[in-house]
Amino acid sequence: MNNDLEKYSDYELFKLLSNGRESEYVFKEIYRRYSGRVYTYCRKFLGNREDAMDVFQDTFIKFYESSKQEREMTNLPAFLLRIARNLCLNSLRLRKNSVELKDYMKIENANEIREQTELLNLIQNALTNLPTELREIFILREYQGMSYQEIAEFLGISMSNVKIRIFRAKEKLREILQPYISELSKL
Amino acid sequence: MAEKDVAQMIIEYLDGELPPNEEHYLFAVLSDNEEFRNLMREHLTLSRSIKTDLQSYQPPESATHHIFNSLGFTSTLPISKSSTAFPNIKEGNVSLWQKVKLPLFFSFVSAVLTFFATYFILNSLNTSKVEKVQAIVQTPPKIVVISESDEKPRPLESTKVSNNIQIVKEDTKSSNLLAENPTSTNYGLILDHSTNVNRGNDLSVRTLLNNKQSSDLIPLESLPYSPFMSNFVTSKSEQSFGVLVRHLTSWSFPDPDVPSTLGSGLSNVSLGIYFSQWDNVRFGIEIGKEPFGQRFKNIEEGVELLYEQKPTIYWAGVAFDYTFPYNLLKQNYLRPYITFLAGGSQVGGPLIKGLSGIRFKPANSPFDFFLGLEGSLLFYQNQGRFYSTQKFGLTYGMCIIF
Repeated sequence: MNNDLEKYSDYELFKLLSNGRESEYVFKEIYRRYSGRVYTYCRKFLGNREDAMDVFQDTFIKFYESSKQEREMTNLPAFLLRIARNLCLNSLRLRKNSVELKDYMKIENANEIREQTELLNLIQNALTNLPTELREIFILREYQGMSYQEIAEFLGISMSNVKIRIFRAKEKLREILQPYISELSKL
Repeated sequence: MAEKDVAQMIIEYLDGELPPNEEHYLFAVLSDNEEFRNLMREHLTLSRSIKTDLQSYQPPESATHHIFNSLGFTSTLPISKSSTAFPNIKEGNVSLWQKVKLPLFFSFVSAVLTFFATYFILNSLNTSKVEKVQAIVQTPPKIVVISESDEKPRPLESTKVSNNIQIVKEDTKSSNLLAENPTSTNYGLILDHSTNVNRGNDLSVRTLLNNKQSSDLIPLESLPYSPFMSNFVTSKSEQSFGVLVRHLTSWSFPDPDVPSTLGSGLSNVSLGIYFSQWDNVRFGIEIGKEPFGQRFKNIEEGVELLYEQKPTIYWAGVAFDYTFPYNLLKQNYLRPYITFLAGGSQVGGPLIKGLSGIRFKPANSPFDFFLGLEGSLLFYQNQGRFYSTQKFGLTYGMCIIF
């Protein structure tokens, strides 16, 4: 059964999970397929590793719990990301209310930065400085590979709104990173 | 179009979202404007940099463990195919062959080594003892009193009652007795009913065999322990097989404060098949499943993280078992034993186990019960580093001998 699950579509897997058949193996197959995407989303959205891990874990636990409810699954990764998004936004709200925690996380980030390549760290840092709505749309586009149309559906906003936000996000990032990017683009 | 619109078109173009009918306009502007070309290069560089960043984000193993544990799944081991951390203890979609191939490999290597070691050891035992005249000698010797009734013992004179049984004086030195019977190859005891005291007599192997039904006879290996015993006896018996099952109750070092991740089926159990051609030496194969605490370091996203987990691991090994040929107490069939097991586990590294304890096996009974202490040493590897886990605890079980 385990090996055969790779051949199943998302729709079929969710159906099996809802019916409680081989739920452990089915869940693990879904996890195998999308854990990377969900974790990247959380990691990029929240910037902080610890928060991202918490949200990532909660996402899959909530997903498993919600799979027991009757629903028609049309887009499994989007469903997972929607859960992750809500949890990320909650996490950000909590973070705003905790100055001490925020300071602590900055220190953690500072430790991590030393270990990573410079430009990627700069991108991550620049990303965390973007307003939430711009950061979110940038992550969906660049790290989740969603099309503009998919982003519009995912966030429930118009296409023109998506285009404007993506433009603003990328322009903002480019401005922050320009000294480095202009050097690299000349190579 | 305004400058802002061109910049937005560049981004849409790089994202593959610019309508084809607007591409001509964009190219025309780009061919004419150095500033926009630079802007496009910069956005392209940014996109490329982000794409290299995509590869570095995989969920940490600990997060995977936490999720699976929370959902009550039997395995908390990572299943992400792209994950490189702990590739050797994946369980979720791992076939049975993948689970057992490493233990089997180590078992095979151990089997070969154990075979040669056992062969040479037993060979030396056989040549040095079985072929010689043997006796377990108590000093001062209290041997050789025979009584066929509950009456008082007969006079302690040396009397030959048959070709094979000889009564000698109680104070006769065993060495003299041995000297008088150079053809004897083995010795046993005869119970003196009159005094209900266990006394000894020399018996040839043939006599012992001829009197198997006699409750007077006590097998040679059950002779009471004597600190002056000069040799261990490895008397030959018929070939036998035994099926062993035992329970393991042990503490792990390190012992992380996390729940053990129980796999499906029984755990803390070992099953084995043993073969013996001797009364107190046997060897066999054991397969077991038990949790091992693990504490190791993982480097994720450039950060060194300490992980703790307690996965339930399959192991297998070849065992060498030796039972000391004397009772701890008279006639209660309690004998000390030691077992050495070498093999491998599904986490890739070798596994060594040492056991010692007490065995209870009544004569002529197919059942063999044991209780002892067990120490284990497991090696495993993660991200190129070797780690070890020690376990120590109790083990008990039984072996049915066929």
